[in-house]
Order: sequence, then structure tokens, then C-alpha cells
Amino acid sequence: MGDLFRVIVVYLEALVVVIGAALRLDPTVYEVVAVNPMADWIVVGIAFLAGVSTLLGQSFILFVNRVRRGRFFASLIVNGLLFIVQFVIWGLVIAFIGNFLFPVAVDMSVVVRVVGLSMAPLVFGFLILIPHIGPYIGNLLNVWVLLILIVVVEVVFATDFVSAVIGVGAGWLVTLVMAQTVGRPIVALRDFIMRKVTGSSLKVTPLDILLDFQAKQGDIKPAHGSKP
Amino acid sequence: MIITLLIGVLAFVFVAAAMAPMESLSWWAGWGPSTTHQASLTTADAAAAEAQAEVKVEADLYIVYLSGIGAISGVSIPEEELPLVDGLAARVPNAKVIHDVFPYSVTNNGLTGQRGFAAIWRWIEKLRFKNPNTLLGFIINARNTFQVFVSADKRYGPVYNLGVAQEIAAGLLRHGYRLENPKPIILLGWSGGGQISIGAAAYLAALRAPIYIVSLGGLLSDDVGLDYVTHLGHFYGDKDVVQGMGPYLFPGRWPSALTSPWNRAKAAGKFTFIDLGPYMHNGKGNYFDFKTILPNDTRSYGEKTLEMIVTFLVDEKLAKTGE
Repeated sequence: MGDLFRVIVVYLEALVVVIGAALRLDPTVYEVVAVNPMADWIVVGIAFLAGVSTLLGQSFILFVNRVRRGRFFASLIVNGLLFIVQFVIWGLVIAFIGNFLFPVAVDMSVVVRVVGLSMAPLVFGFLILIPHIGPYIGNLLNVWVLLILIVVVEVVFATDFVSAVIGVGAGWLVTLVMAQTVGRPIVALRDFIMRKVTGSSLKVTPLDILLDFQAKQGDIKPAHGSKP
Repeated sequence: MIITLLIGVLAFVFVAAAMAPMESLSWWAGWGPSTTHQASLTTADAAAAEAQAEVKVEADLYIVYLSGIGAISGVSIPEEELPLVDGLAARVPNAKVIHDVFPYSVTNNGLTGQRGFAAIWRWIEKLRFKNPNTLLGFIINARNTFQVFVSADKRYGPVYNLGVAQEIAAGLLRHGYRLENPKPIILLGWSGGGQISIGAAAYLAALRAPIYIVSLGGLLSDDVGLDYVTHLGHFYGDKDVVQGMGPYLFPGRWPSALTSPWNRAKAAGKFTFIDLGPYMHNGKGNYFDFKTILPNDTRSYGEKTLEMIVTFLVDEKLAKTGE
């Protein structure tokens, strides 16, 4: 029991250190993670936390659709698991593109592991909840993810910044095309899982609450104003 | 050490801000004990309020006062605000002035009511009674400021504003408002109460009554509720930087947002901006200051505020003054 506790504490400490280094765009951490297969669990932990936190940040849609408390927390955990799948797919795409574009051939598992680090900023995805400035914070986090990804490609494939940007851009395009074509069943499966976990189609938007209210109340017209 | 402390405080503020929408969202989702999360103004609470109404005599207009971010509950608004509210009731005898709605909760549940940390809020309230300028009072302001931004946020506003509109409707019924004979409703929103007033207007329109907003140094966004407002009078001070932040904070108020609710309302002539003079948002020379005399005037800041609001209501053909 004591050993397990110690392992958990060491794991959490390592998680915090790696997240901090990834956020600082510290190339050393990418190199360490690339050569250390034991880092798998750290990267999986980052992706899981990013998934939980990001959905928490966008959880207004769960609340608006009146997802029940138990299902709410289950959907956070499931989203964490889905993020792990997502980073693996994303890593494979980057590995494929990188090995195609750049002269240095890199093992796919190494690329996948290091790409997972790019999700570190999304650990703070819950800040998207903040009223008014939350969506701007979300955009900032996504730019941060992109920056880490570019540095990761730069380090792993031993290339320059511009080539790394082209590589990441190409990866993004491929992912986009895949989501609309061969990846459709995967996207459909993800949506199916979320519908099952939340018990809701998640189709209601906040504005629908007002529109539904007005529809139920009958003919509510905007006021014309008191001045001629 | 100091840097660690600053990081800690900043982290606390960010987490508190992230938690701010949770009260209203969980209310809507039905997580809490309240059952009044239906998309209607005539909730069970409202019906009960109507049944309990002590005053059955109808007024010509109903003024609902929504306090600023310093409010701690519907029954405990900051003491300095009472002379203005009472003065309004005295100067406009055909109006019923209501000030028991707490605009910073969807369930009218004050900070000292049935909620977690109520003991801490009560402690801060006691401190504030002893010293109105206590630094800890700032925690109340910060908590309520977050709720103002919840009201203005398009992700949370439709939920939050429904809850507050229900509480305003219940307040109106408690004070003798009759749904079958809709009289004009004036939402007098001070500071953050200004934003919450326009947010609630979209729902209060269901009462089929003309809705007027009196914004007293209000921080106003481009809320869709503006479409349902008959007229809005914005009273502001030259030295009030808080209300002055509105045009910068909310992109929908920028001239480039041609079709935003704010610019639609502006184009429809729904706004009257009233410059009161060298007023501050807080401290000496604020809207409620009945002690300090205005420069080149015989009136105090508070007296002028009161007079100008009454004049606005008379101009809008709402008030019959008692003088």
C-alpha cells in the first residue's frame, strides 16, 4: 500500500515537471520523452487530464442539455480517454507526414509519445469556463498547443522551424480530410459514445433556452422604444 | 516568497472565476434542491409569491431595484444605497419600489442564505457593518462581479438571466403586481445590476408590460435583452471608470458591430445618456453620496442622482411626483 502511494506521488510529481517543461517549450523534455519508453504513462496522463479539463471548460453544453450529475462526471472521464485515442491518431499522422517530408526516419512510437506532450496546455482547458474571457483563453491554449507541436516536430525530425510549420500544417490538413472521409466512422463512434454516456443528443444551445421560452410564452415582440 | 504568494492569489482568482457559472448552470440542470428551473416566469415560487402578496393595492408603475456588486442578499443591500431607494419611493408616490431581489443569484438566495460558505459571508457582512471599507468586502464585490459577466456571457446569460427574471417576477407578484393588468416595469440597476437588468428584460417581456431600464453607472453589454426594452436611461459620472469600461469590454458595443443588439437599440433611439457630472463609481462623490455637496451646486451627489432619475421617469410619462 505504501509502495503504491509512493509510486503515485512520484508519477504525479513527474507529470507536473513534464507539463511545466512542455509549456515552457523546453526542447530537453521532448528529447527525454522521445528516448524514454517509460514516458508513455506520463504522456497518457497529460492527454487524459487535457481531455477532462477541456470538456470541463466547455461543460456549459452539458449543463444546458441537463445532463445528470453522474453522467456529467462520467463524460469528463470518457472525454479524457477519447483524448488519449485522439493524440495517438494525431501522432501517427504527424509520424507519417514527417517520415515522408523529412530525411530523418523516426520510429512511429517515438513521434506519438512526443506529440502527446503538445496537449499539455489543454490541462488548463477548464479556464475556458471563465465568463467573458474564457473563449479567448481557449484560443490562446490552442495556439500554445500548435507552438509545442511545431517545436516537437523541429526537435524530433531535426529540421528547421519553417519546415516544421509545413509538416504540422500538412498533418492538420490530412486530419481534416480524414475526419470527412475515412475517419467518419471514428467520428461517428466518438459522438455515439458521448451520446450514450451523457444520455443526451447535446443539441440544445444556450440561445435555444431563450427561444424555447419565447415560443412557449406566445407572441413576444421586441419593443419599439418610447421615442418617436 | 512574494512571487509564490502572488501566483497563489492569481490561481485562486482564476479558479474562482471558472467556478462562477456553476451555480446557475447546475440550477438549470436540476442538480440543486430548487425545482424552479423551468422555462417560464410563472413558476411555483412565483405563484406562491402572488398568493402571499400583502399589498393588493396596485401601483401605476413598479420599480425593481437591483443593487450593485456590493450586495450580499436581497434583504441586506449596502446601507448607503437605502436613502436613494427610499427617496425614490417618497418622490414617486404612484410607484411601488421593490428592493428585495438579489440579482447575483438565480434563486434569490443571498450569500448569507442556505449555501456553502454562508458562515464566511456572514462573517464578512459583520465586518462590513463595523467598517464599510473593510478590504474583505472586496471578496463580495469580486464574487458578484463574476456573476455580472456570467449574465453578459452568451454561453451562460440565457440561463442566468432566466433565473433572475423569475425572481424579479416573483418579487413583483409579492408586491401586488397583477399579471392580468401589466403595468410598466422599471428595472433600476446600479453598477452590475445594470447588466443584469437588460439580461432579464428578454424574459420579463413575457409579462407584456413596457420595460424601462434605469442604469446607474451600469456596466452594460450588448445583451439581446435590449431588443425588449422600451427605453434605457444610462446615468453616469465623468469620473466613473467602471461604467466607462463597457464600450471597450464588449465587442458588440463597438460601432463596427452594426447588427448587434446594442447598435440596433441605439439606432432605434432607445437610449438616453445622462451625464450627472464629476461622479465617482465608489467612495466620496458617488451616486449615493448624500453628504458631499456637488461643486457649483447646492445639492449633494445623491440628491442630484435622485432628482435626475425622477425627471427621467416624468419625461417618460411614468411618474407623477409627490411634490
